[in-house]
Amino acid sequence: MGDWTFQSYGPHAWLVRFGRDLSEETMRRALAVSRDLEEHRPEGLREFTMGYGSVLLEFERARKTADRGGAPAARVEELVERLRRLPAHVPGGRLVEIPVVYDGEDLGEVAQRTGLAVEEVVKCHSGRDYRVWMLGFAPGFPYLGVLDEVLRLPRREVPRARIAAGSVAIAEAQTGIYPSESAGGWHILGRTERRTFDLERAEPFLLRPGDLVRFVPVEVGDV
Amino acid sequence: MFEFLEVISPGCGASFQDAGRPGWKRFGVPPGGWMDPVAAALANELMGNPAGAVVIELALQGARFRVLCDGWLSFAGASMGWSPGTVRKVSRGEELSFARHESGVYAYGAAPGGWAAPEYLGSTAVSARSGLGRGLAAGDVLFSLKAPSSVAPELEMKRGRPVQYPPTIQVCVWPGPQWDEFGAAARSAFLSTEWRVSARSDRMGVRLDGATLKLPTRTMLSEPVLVGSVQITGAGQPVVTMRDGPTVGGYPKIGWLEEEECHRVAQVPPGGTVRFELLKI
Repeated sequence: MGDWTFQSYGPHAWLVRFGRDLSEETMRRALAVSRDLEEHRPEGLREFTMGYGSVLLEFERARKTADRGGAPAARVEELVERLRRLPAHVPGGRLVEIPVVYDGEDLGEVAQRTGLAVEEVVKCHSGRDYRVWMLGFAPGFPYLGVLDEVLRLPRREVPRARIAAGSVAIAEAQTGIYPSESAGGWHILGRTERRTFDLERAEPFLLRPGDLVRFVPVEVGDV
Repeated sequence: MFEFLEVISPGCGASFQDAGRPGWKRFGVPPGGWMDPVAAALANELMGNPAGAVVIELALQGARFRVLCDGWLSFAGASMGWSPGTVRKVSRGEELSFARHESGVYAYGAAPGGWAAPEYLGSTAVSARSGLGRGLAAGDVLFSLKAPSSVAPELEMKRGRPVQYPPTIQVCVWPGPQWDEFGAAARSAFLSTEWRVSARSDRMGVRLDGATLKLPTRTMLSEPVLVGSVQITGAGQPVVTMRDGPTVGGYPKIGWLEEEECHRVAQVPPGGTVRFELLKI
């Protein structure tokens, strides 16, 4: 199966991996996989969840204890084979602009650790469009990539207990937007009034995998 | 809807819960729902409610309610001041106090017909961290779907089989996706340590103290996480992912617990201990 692998994750779920890096190729595969599973839901598949270069397949629980530990292995192999043969999806998502006030509490530290001036950090972060790889961690949290190499820092050693909703943050090769107040270990560069998750909206989720996000620097008051 | 209880204090945590909202994980929405489905089901069964009826979930201790009208209530699960697995009649003006923690962590209270609660994405299960509702707060009035006094009187005699929640348990664990990537020393320490449940545990995860595990050298890309996964944090501490936990994460997962084992871990109070026994495949 080439660079596609899958492994069991407990007796009812399988983790399929199809990319070990955040390349355009991995992204295309991910979009093809999620689109296919959305449109042609395999029988017995209870739920699927995307990761970077991976997808988790959760199947209905086997009733008989004799089936524990491997009932659907052959079926999973068949399904993986099907996914592997999908034509790579060329992303054509919407472009969503996110106005950001760059005054985050980690901006200074990020500048210091990357050796850039604060303005250069802002310019670098807002200077490219990011693809939505997946939604995860919290409702509507977009994993966006990929970040310019100069801005890549490991997660904070001690995660913050409280990060405000709308915080725009970075970690490693990714950037994201906290949908609601939560704990988190990413470096906060700024904030936006756009909510990536809002139950009051007809469409609660602002972004979908494949969309492009453009951060637009604004001053306080412009948001 | 019938006015039944008023919240005086939510104590360590009180919220509406049901079976949760499967099917939304790819939008980042955790499954949520009752931490101990067995206890929640017993509370509903005692009341003669449908299995999926909305219950209130109380954490540890401290919750207090004022009864606004005569009626029937059942509680099951953790013991914190109401004999678990029983139904009883409460009277207008009475104060219900869950201040005496004896065992377990989560207790479930059912009212006739279930509680009236707002739905978010198809479920009433509150997951505050996810922006899906909020926990109960002082002054909240709780409504039952049926008249509080509508329950048949023979229910008074009904008792569930009391479930014991020992503070020291052993659970079976499946190897997690990164099991092979942990070194032999880390795997052996994981299985031999008597892990102590931290007070910082909540509906997202049960944190365990007792040893520091050496992480795999290879860093990983964020990947999907199943409820029941034993993740090892950057500091080398295990966290058992619970129902409000993140759907995707970058910590390696040394093990995975079946749902039934996960409930048992959820009911171990802070200071209690958990040991893991590896299932042979």
